[in-house]
Amino acid sequence: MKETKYINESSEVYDVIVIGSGMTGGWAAKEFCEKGFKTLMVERGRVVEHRKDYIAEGKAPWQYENRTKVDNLLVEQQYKIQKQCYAFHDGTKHFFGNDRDLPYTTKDGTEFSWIRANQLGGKSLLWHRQSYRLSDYDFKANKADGVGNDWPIRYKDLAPWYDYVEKFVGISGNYDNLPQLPDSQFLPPFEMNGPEKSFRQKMAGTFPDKPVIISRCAHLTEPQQIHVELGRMKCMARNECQKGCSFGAYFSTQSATLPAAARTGNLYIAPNSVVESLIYDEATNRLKGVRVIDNDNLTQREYYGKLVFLCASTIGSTQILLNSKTNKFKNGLANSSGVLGKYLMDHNYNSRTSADIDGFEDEYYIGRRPAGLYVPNFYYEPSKYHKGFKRGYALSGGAYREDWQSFGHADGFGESFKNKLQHPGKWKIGLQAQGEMLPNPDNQMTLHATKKDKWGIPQIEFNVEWSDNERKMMENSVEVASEMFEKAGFKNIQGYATERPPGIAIHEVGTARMGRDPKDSVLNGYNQAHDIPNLFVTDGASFSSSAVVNPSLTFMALTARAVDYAVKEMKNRRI
Amino acid sequence: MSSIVTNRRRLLQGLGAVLGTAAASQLLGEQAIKSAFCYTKNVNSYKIDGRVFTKNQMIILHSIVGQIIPTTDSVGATDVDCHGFIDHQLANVHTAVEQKNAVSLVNKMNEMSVKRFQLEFYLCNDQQQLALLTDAEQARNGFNQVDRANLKFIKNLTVFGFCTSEEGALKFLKYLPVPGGYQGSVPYEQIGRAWSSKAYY
Repeated sequence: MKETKYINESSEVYDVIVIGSGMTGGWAAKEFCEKGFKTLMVERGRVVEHRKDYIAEGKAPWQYENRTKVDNLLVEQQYKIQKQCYAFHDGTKHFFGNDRDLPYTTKDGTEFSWIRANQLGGKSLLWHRQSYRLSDYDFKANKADGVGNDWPIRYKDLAPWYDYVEKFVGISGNYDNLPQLPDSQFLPPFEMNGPEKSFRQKMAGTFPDKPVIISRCAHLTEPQQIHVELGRMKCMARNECQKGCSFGAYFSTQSATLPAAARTGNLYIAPNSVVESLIYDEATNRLKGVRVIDNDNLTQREYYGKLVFLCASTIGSTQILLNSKTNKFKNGLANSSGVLGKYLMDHNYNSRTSADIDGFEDEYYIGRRPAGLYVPNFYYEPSKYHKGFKRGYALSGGAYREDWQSFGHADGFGESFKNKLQHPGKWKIGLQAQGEMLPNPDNQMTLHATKKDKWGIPQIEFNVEWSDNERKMMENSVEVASEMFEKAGFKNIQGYATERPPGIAIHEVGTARMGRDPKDSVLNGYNQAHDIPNLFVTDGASFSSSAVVNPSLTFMALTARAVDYAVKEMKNRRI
Repeated sequence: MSSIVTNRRRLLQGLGAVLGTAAASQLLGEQAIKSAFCYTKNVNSYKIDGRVFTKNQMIILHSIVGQIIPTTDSVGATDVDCHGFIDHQLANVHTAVEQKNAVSLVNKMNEMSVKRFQLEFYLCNDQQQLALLTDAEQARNGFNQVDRANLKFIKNLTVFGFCTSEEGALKFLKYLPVPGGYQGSVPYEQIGRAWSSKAYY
């Protein structure tokens, strides 16, 4: 990383301190650095350098100690929670948090799966890369049905910022012109396979309200100058993504925002710096910096800045605020409203429906596509709601041919069984629901009264549960997907709703929500704390509702917009 | 916690006790200690005690995997040491209960073989072995649903071990680590075999 400056001790007063280096922190740093601000990025974990530290990339399965499975002793000791993530395996485990060092509790009778990625780049290295805009229906949803507080912004406020970040990120997708899922600035879409195209066509006639589209993802299908100049290249469809991609073909901090920030010469990074709390000056009602504890040797130090962008992840950012208690803010910084920690949401991925597709035996595909099928939310406004629940869900999945992984339990032995393994089997299709979780003050995170982590920071206690609204939504998604498959003429339709705990969609949002009224929200419409002008929280903590779509693209757009606003406010001396 | 896990802990603790932890690390290094448990192909692994299976059980397991994926004009399960791989994988990745189930199936195959043919399983001819395995898979003639489930577990490990081995992935299936992009509709005859590569399994 050319011109990146790593620091440890420093008494300098930086223009900006950005806490966190993932999706959101990377964007904050890039924007401030490019605008000429001397920026300190504070990261709690180790340095991960692009390419150099992708230690498992390109390894074939037989080159792993246990053929990509993780040693059971290691899982038992360090990854009991993290192993629940679909992307956790021997080639990615070093990018997941260590559960032994990162303990948390849940209120009796509840569960929460908290997936962590505490290193430079954070979860931007591990994300699923599906990228969608929230629609105006999403921003109006809380007001429209009366659940949660009204977002202080509307789609038109964020649309130009979506445009802005998308051109830099590189989003592949098709212009679908749907009211509930605004188009992005697209690179060419990934192709559908044969059965998917046929399914799309059949559904267009039968269910016009449920268009089947190709999913939109942050992969370079046709790199532009803005990507190439950072060393990014076209997606090779390897499905190596979460090991780190040396092609820089998917968007991550390492592939995109970090090199963009570093080349300005304005970026300073303090790795291994666990933020314990923010330093607040009551006389000026301004933050002065951050108190950190060294990740490795547990010593304490401080960094100073004129402005703080808190981008430490939804739960991480709110933990820092809750732990920053002062005389004025006895229940946590910027918490005069008392809602800090409340309204924690995730997405509900608790249903899956599958079916067999006859025919297409002569069809196959080349490559491992990072995209799939997507059926956008069709219950997107109150007049379209299902009578049994509020809000809605999207369906995502795709069609594929069975292979040896499906045949391991098939009957038979000998040559005929062996022959079966060598060729693909029948086509199958699956759709999973991605449901909205309603904002609910009872779903919350608090600091544990007595338990602390190894850095002496109070552990988080989660108290989060699915409501009947979310359960009914999952049941309905099985019915709808089954009906779609039936009309398409698919066979052996099987669907089920499960109840995995919240957290595992890794789309946690809320806890420091935006709002117009300082009495019931933590942040204003520009992600600025109502209580403290030089504090911004631009990650998922700021969400007033979860909507249905994957949230990362919105984190990015909100962050770029907040930086633009903060810079203007600084110039006008209001910060 | 599995006995194997406990044994590994004891071994590491033992090395530390004999050499001193620092000395053990210096002499062996973490990687060297790890490599003591790393799977390496050894087609003769059925002639020695495994970590989960005894030598006698390894011989039977060798015969079982050979019947599941036989050597034909292409390599089979025994050629790529699926028996050794299963022993390794059970010890490193699977639970004590799964280890017990796998051993139980191997023992059951031998018991039924002796009972029906008065021969140890590995001494039976192909026809006899296949008859026994088919009965186990169909849960009939002395085999029950538990045996069927245990056999399916071993079969799945055999298929996994075979298809993720270098020979299985490169020669038996089609391996394409860098496809260069995605094409959604390609005539199957142009590919000819199923893809082996998935990036994660």
